[in-house]
Amino acid sequence: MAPLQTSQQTGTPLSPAELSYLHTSLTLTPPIRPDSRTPTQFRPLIAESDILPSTNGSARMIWGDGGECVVGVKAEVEKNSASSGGPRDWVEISVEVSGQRDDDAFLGMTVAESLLVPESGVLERLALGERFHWKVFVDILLLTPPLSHPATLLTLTTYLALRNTFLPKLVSEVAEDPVFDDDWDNALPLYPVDRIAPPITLLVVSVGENIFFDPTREELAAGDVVLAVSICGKKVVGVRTLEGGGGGVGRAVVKRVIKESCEVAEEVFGSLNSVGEGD
Amino acid sequence: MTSFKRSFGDSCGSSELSSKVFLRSSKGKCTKIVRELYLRRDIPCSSKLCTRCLMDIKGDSYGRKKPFVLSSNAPVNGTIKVPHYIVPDTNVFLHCMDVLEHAAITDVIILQTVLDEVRARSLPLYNRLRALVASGEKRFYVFHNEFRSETYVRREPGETINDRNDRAVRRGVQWYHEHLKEVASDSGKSIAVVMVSNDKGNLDKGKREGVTCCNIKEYVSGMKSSDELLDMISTALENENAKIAKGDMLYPEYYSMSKMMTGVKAGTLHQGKFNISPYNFLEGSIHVPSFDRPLLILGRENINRSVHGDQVVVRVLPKDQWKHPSSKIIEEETMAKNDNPEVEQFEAIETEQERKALIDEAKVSQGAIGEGKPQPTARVVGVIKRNWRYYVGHLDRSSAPSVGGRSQRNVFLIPMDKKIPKIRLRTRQASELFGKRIVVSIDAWDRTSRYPSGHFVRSLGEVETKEAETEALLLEWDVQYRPFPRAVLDCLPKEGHEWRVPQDPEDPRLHQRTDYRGLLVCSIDPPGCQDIDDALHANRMPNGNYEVGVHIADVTHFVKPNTAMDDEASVRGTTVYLVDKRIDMLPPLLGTDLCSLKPCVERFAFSVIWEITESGDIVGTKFSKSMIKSREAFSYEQAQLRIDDKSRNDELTQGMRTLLMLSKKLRQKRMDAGALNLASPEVRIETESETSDPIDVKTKEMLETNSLVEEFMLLANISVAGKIYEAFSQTALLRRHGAPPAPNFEELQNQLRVTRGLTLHTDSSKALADSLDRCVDPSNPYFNTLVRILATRCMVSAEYFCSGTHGYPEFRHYGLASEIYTHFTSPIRRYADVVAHRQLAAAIGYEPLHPTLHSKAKLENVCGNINNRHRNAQMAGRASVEYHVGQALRGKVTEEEGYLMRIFSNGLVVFVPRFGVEGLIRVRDLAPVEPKSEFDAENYRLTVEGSTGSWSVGLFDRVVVKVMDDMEEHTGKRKIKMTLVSVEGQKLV
Repeated sequence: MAPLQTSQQTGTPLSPAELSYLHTSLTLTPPIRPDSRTPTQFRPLIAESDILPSTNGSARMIWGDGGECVVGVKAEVEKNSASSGGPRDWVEISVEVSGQRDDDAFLGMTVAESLLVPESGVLERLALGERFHWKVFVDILLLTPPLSHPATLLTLTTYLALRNTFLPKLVSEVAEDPVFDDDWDNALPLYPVDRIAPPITLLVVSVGENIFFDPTREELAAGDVVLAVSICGKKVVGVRTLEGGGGGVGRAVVKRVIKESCEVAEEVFGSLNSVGEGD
Repeated sequence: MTSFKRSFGDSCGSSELSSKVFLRSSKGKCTKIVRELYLRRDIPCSSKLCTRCLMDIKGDSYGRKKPFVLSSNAPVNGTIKVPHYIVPDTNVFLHCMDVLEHAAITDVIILQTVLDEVRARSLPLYNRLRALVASGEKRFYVFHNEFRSETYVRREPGETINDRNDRAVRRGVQWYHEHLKEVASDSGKSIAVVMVSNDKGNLDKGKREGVTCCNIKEYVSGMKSSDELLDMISTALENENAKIAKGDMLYPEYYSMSKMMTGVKAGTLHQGKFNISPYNFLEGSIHVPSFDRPLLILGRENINRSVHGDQVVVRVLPKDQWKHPSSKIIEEETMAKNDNPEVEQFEAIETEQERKALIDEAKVSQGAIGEGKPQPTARVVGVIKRNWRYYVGHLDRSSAPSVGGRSQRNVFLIPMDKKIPKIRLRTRQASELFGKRIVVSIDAWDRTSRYPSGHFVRSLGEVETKEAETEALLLEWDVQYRPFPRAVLDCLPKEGHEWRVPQDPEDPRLHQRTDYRGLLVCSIDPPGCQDIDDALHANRMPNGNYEVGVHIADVTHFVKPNTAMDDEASVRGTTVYLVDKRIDMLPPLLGTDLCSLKPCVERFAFSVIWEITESGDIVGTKFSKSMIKSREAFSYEQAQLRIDDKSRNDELTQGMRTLLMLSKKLRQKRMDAGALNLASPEVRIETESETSDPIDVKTKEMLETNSLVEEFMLLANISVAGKIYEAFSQTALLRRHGAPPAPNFEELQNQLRVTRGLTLHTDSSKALADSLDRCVDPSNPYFNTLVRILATRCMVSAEYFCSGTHGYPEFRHYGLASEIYTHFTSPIRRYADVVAHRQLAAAIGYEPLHPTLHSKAKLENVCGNINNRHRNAQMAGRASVEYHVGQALRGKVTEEEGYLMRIFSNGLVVFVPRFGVEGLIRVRDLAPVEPKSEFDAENYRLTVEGSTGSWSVGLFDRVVVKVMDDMEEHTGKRKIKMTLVSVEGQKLV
């Protein structure tokens, strides 16, 4: 499916009358979404992990509207050096959107800054003895940008890939040059099950008093405020206004967004974690 | 809205496709490797009995099919009483390769799983296995079980790779079993498949899964030559099951590989090749890049199970443990005489005696601290690579009780090479093996064992029979002496001895070949030389200058690159000359006939022609492929006689006189430039013509004609070196001789200063040559030669190299005082010359250069090999002379003049010029009771309180010794034995 050239910022394919109709139906109690979803329901999607055999972890997701994202995580051994920025440089993320210039700093940032949350213990797992560390490269490829905003697709795929990322098991001593176990099955997860998982970002649109998760393009166009909510573990770690909000965001709305986001995120985590467990 | 994109899982459903994933980490990097496997069903079982596989196979892209290997008449033996094929597992190949190479074992299936494991564990063993398969004689077949869908095995979660591979082996055997059973129902003949292993766990599992399996020992003991075969089983394999039980660790543990590599990289540990002193088996040394001088490694604990030649990693010991190199002769034989190979319990690594010897030495070096500083010492902390090879030796008679019987017992093997420790051997054939030369291989050296343990490989025959001794020394120096294989002989010209230089001028072989058949060419070689690779001529030119030509056998016309013959020659590297035998680099058809520049026969040659002025200056040089007809083949003596015979004035003789005249001028120029005249003791052995038994020893004479040939060969080599370097600045094969590092001479300089008040200048080869000339002792005419011999030992050895690996200033040949040098003049007997010929041919546009000679990496490999072979050939030659000298003197006693070459606190090394041999005289051998002696290390003097009064000797002193032959108990070599008769004219007895 060829991506539509008109983006939601510049214009919508809806007429003002259609927009108004949509807006009204979304403000109802209970609201009515055009595809009859409940406010917290996601559109159908395909998610699979371990699709790139030679990476340390990978995932692919296909959104119902054709948006497709592939994420590959590679880890390389690197010597600690005093000159670089320290652990900040240990993770490198690149986002490539097919058909677009790859300097879209925003998307990369959203993912990167929330990855190295201090108490997640990721940094400790990346350290290899006293003189070496893993350098993790996360390559995000948005094969087909979704019709709605890509943030959710992107972070969910990244989450899935990171959850399935394994680092070879170190067998050498702390002071030595690293040597690893040859059995891939013995590799250790970058994010063990019992530790804080990588963050995800959910897109929430508020229309009147109601809030909706995983908005379609039309819903985004009709919405008052679009928020990107980053959730790590059970906590919201960031809320950012993407669009609208000319009239400000109501405090009640924010409160609700945060509360519901946590609940929704937990469900999302749960269902994503079961991906790949089948085989 | 739904997507039509397919998910990953839908696309990989084929059962013929599988993948395996593993991690490879090296040099600190880690790579995840994913291998996709396409499984097939048409890989044949290769049994001649099988008709099904025969129908299935499709052949390669040309439709060729490989013939089936495994015999339909499978072997039967006492253990497995039905016809069977065997499938050994990896350990059997790793530890019992010698058994599998034995002619009694045939019809073996090698599973790919096993082959891969062998390759990963030991490349030399893998190559031997490959050679076994390739030879075809013993019917070894490689079955690619990893690619056949029925036999492919997936690694299960949590399963170690070893367990998985063992399972793959069992699965392979099982498949073969079922497959052959089906086949048997077709043909009515049944063949069993037996897994041979030594791993108890694997055997048990096999039995449970219904696989016919058998321990290697059980299997072998059912065969006819079971005693011999059982001995060939490595002790490492036997120990594997019992190892855990043992307690006492005698040696410190090795560091882990990663710890060593980290240490070497960080500079806290050092890596190098471990060497043992030939005089003291408890003193090793190691040369490492970060120190100018070698580090000393003293005592068993520090040597820590290293064997001469191993690549080891050492740690430098604290300064208070630094020592002087030993001034005492310590031989394993005398120190460890009482060891019992059967008993291990009370073994300490150093026996009391050894410890005493070390303490004595420490005291001496303590006393001498004022003089030289103690040298840094080190301890071996790990072995990077063992350089174990086959060792030849004989059994220590005292190490086993004399009771006969076939029971297995431990004995010691004493290697011929004194630098190798005794090897513990388990054998059932002890009583037969005593007094024989036998070949063994070392399997392991445990921390619990004072000596390495090994296994029997084969017997060469009685000690001191010529065949056994010759083979022993060829093995010791790794000389390839097997006959040339079929593939090599197939490369020879079809005409054989009938090959002639083509007479038709249009023949393509004559293209660009100059016709020098009209020149009066002759060759001068040692008497009886059959492989004549050089011939010479000289003419007066109309302009008053001389035309001088050196014609070298055109070997590369017959030996083309990338043929089996070329490969074989490059592996052999050089022809090896023993006293009574020559081991050729090229098949004799070429070496002694088609290439050899025999007299009165037309031959192809590669010629270098110079225009030389009366005073010996070179005006012009040209190179060309040519054909020549030698008029005469002289020996050095004959040539000398011909030149000296005033009545002969024919053109050929005149030409030879011109050559002699010019060679003297060239020689003078070389000497003026600082070429060294070094001496090495060379002797010739007179043999009886019929039996070629040695009867006498003579020192080689140097005639003027020797240096005539030598001068022009040097000139040719230098000219060619210049030419090929000009054409191929990165890949020319050259020869260099590095300037010896100053510390090498320190000892000799000091000795000369203290004993004779002479100084030796070593700043340049010129200075050295001049100061060597000044080293004379009026009372001792041989003194100068003696110093030259010692100076030669301080030199580094010359080496072949590829021009791209060194800067031009380092090309210098120190001994010849030439800026650039190569070897061009003996292509029949040296591979380096073959390469130089090809490069020269390309440089003059005769033929394009073969791609392999363009590759620096390949040339470096060639250089490494030929340097090594060259050294070994020299050593083998020397060892052969030494053996024959011993034989020639057998039963004779003579008094000879000798000179003191080295002096120890408990012995003297005497050099006898007449035989070109050195002998050791120990103080304790001077009298029935070891006389008191005092050693003055600073003045190199030893004073002995003899029964008739005290006397003293100093270094370089002339002595008279009684020379007789002696069977050296320790090495089983017949060597000459010396006893002191008089010192500087003073009679001792």
